Amino acid sequence: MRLFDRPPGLSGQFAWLLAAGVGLALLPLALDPYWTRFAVFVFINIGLASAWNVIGGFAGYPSFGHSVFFGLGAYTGAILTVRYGLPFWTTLPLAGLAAGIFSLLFMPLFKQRGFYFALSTLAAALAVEAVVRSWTWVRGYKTSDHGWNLPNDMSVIFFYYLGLALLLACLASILLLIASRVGMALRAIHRDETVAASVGVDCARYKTIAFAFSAVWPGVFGAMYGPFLVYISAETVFDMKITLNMIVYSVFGGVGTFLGPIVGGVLLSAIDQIAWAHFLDYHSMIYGVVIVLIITFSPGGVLSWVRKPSGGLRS
Amino acid sequence: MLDVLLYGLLRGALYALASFGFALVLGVLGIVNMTHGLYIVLGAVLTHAMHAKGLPLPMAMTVAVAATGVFAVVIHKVLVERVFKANPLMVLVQTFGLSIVVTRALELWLGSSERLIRVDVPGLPIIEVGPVIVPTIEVILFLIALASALALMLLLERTDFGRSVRACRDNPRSAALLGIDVDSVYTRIMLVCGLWAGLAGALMVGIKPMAPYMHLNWTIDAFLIVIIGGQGSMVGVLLGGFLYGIVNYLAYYYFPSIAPALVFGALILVLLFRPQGLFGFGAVARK
Repeated sequence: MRLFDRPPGLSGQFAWLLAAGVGLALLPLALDPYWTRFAVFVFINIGLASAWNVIGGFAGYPSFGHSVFFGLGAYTGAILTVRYGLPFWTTLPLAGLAAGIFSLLFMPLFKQRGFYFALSTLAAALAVEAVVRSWTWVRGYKTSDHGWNLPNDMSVIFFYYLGLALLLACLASILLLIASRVGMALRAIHRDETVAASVGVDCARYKTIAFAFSAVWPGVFGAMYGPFLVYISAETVFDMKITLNMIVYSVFGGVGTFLGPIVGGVLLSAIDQIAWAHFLDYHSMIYGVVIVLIITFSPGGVLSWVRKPSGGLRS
Repeated sequence: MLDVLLYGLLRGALYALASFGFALVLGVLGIVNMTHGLYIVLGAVLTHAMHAKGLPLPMAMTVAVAATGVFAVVIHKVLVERVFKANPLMVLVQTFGLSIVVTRALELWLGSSERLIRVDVPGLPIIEVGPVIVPTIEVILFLIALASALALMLLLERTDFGRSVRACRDNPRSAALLGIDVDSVYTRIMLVCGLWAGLAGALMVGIKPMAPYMHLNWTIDAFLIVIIGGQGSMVGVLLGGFLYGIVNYLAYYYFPSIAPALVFGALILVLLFRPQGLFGFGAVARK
């Protein structure tokens, strides 16, 4: 059973979202800068995982190349800011647009399914990363640079509210998407693509829409991530780990559900943070152990504990 | 040019050796095993550690390879077996998490540095092939790799185990009805996978620096080779390994800055136009 097999009133869902947003907006009053900064990372992680979940969860096409769109957004934002002096506000939509347009280049890969799709997207992502690393105009301001320095003129509180706003917009757009015809088509494709095609669902078109959609938001978050970190390089924004985190958060919470990436993002970020703060040497181990245990004993994700398991990822 | 081709070919055999297990597991169990690269690294690191403790090299290699095989079986029995039938794609995330844990444990236990065992063959340190100079050790490792590839092919083609593997690959349910213990076949496939990957690592540490953090690259390499060669046949994987070795060497030699882009670009072309792999035969059932 999926949460939105029969969409309950959209307005009700938006009300919950808005209530959560208002609650979170008050949170910085109680948080010190360290935890505020941590919250920004959580927002970005949830946004990325939710965007991945559209193509990987709802449509059942697990992309392993999604860090490219995040990196592309971050680099587009950096280039527009540093080379062309554009104001920060304009770089967010432009970076999203760039990632969305770029994602169309991945269209031929939709001939593949399952593992083949997963690993073709991974290969494509590694190819793009290699080009970015060696293209001097893109990789840094001076030819000797291997990254971008961005102006450090915005406070953590600013990023908190920006991240929250972007996350809410992202989640709202996903709610709209999965309640629309596109959402229905994606679920049909997930269940059985051949049957979906035979009853007249234009699979190629809907897969492209879903993929472009799930590329735009990482692009936007990437453009925000650059100024937030102040310095970005291929190692930080094109890292394979970013893709893996999107997948792990979604799977941990419950893949193909709206709430899954949110639950997974919050819980795993918290576990990661606690492990990092208390057991620095063993931090990545604890993180890995949690992932392994969850998947081994509960492949449906955390959400399956509170309700019947969904189908989860299928090849 | 000749030297690049020759080195590509020599290394290609080791690449192929590193990929056989991956192809077997992908083909028969239908899972992408992200711990595969870890098995390779484990074989290398254990060999190095025991050699450093004073064990003679062949002995160190044997122990390391056996340990890697046992490790692969344990992982399969304890973790993967519970998940892969219900949901093969989950195994990808599961084994990824696992590889993080084991890599970190390995680093804490034996150190994270890159390691290499220098071996000079006494009396004949290098071999000259025309104008090209090749260290003898590369040739010896090449021959060991070929021999073990041959042994694996014989195992799969000529033994009862091989026949049950092929039966399970084609249709596990019929295989079970015919009295084959499918789960035990899967476990033994994992053993074979661990042994051969461990051997690849144990050989590789003689010519290439190896470190625990490289496991992901090895998994990806193994996957590329299986895609290029076609997962249907071990001969395909062997040829894929050679081809990958040569393409890799050429790309890194002539266009070092964009070499990965070239290699992965070639891979995508293969996937689009020959999804069954260059040397695979017949259609691949893709679900």
